[in-house]
Amino acid sequence: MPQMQMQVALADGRVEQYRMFQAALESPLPLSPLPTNLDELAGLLAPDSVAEGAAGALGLVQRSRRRLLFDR
Amino acid sequence: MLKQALRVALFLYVTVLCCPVEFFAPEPTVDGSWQLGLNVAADQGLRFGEDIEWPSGPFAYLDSPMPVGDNLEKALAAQLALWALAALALADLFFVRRLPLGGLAALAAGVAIGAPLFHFNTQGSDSLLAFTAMTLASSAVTAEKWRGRLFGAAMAAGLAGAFKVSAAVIGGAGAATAALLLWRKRDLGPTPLALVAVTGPCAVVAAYLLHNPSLQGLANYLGSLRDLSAGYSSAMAFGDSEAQVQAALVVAALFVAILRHLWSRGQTAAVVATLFLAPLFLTFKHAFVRQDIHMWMFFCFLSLALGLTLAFTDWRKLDRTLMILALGVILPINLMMSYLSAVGWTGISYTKPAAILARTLSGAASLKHLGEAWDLQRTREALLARGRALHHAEGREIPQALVDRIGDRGVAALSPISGELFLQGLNVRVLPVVQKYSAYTPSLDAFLAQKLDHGYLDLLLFEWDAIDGRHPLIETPLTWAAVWRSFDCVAREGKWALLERRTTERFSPGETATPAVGNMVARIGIPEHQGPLFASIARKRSAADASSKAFIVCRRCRCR
Repeated sequence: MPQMQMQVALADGRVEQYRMFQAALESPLPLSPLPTNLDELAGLLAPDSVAEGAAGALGLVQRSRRRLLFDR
Repeated sequence: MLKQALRVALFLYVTVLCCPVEFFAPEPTVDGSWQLGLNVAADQGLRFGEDIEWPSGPFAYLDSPMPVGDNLEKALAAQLALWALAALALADLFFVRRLPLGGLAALAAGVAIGAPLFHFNTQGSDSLLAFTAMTLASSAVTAEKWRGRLFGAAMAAGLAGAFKVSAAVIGGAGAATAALLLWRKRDLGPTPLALVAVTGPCAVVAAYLLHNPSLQGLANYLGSLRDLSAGYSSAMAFGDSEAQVQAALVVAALFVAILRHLWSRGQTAAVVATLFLAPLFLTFKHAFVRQDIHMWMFFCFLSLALGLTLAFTDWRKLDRTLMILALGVILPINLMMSYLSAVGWTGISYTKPAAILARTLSGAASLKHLGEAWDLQRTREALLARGRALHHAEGREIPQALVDRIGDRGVAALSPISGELFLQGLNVRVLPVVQKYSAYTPSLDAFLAQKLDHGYLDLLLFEWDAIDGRHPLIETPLTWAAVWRSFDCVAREGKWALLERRTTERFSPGETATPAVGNMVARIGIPEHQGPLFASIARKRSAADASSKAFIVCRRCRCR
């Protein structure tokens, strides 16, 4: 129904469908760590934790860029 | 004498079906949580457009009143006033216009089937106002004295905006169509259109200024409505059975067939049916953008449209076979959908159709809450007890360790469900977007993040759950950045994490890169930087996208 969809051509030739929401398209995206559960959130927000730099952020983007960009 | 008695009896029956009086317990649901949020916001004097943003209007809490402050008393007064307004509009048809009894009986049947709309999802005053606007508009386009009726229609539509913007748009579309028809069919010039164009917006503005006498707040509020409306379809998209869409298209097509037949026979009712074309389209869009239970709204509204149309119909001048065939398809479908809607409304199991029909068609369900109005103190205590019992049954009591840690400090819920904060007597602060999932557009995300950045809240109770199984942070990147920058997790208990404002920020704001985007993923360049990075990826909606969005189904986007 009325959700936006995107077809993404993968390197091996497959095509995947993604459901997207407007905010995911038009908002600034956090390229730095985005927690995937409450434990990770608590870890990132621990009082003594520091924000990761660009190198760490790049690694995360490469590992899970689809999760950052799309809600399947 | 008998005819007059029947007329009075039918009027009373339809008026009873329109009773909007309702009170609610804070339920541990997504909808129950934002409704509670609006009740708390009203009690704390928070202002739409300045302190909070939300798709409903500033008086929406009167539509689903909960035992917060003196909201039950205020809501009862408002709901009785709206009921009286609807009764006045109906009295015009029954006693001033003196429509034929057969037509009025058809109107009663339509309202009986459509009445669940006046109690949809613990709301309905907004729909009652839209129906009042349509009733007055129907009378205006068929009467010699049209000015007062059209003014009333535009006023009712504008007032609906104070409760729910969609109801104002639907009622306003009906009033505008009435003005156009008066102009074109009666050669009255643009006066009717000017009347609607001035009255409707003036009612919206007056209602807002009554809530918050601030022009800047009004400007912010109107701007936020545009943003909320623009993002609603994409953010709230939720499909369901295609059979329901097909059924809606069938009954809509048959309604148009009836309209065409009425025009061909030169019937006055054709003008009334025409009034409903734009409102029906808007209701269809409203009902099927987020389908699940919302689709009932379309079938209930169509029943009301049919009832008002048939009230003005002269059956002697019709092709009865065609009408019986059309109504023979529409009525069973609408009855079934209305019945399913009434399951949620009455709380009776769908396996007991006789009980549901008896309560809804007799009007008993409509008057269910009226008895509670006699002793609001007792009602308040009963609703609070029910809210606590429901939260207890769902295992949603906040652990004592967290309660102790929060103490008497103000705390807001960063989660889709939040009633436990209020029910456990904590010092509740309302989230600037009322409920986290509503921050679904960039500007709403920015609004929430800005409030967090400016120290609006010091304690957040975070829960990982999110609506529709989504990631709870991915759609609110600025909010996440603000939380990450300014809050520490100071306690974890069960499903909750307690976040407390830091004395110094974890990193400074403003480090935003805007990469060139061709291939959405692969060409994102990451500039060297020591701090966290945030990127802005914009995708403009094309004209084709915008037009297809108007017809609900969004186009597919291709990533090259």
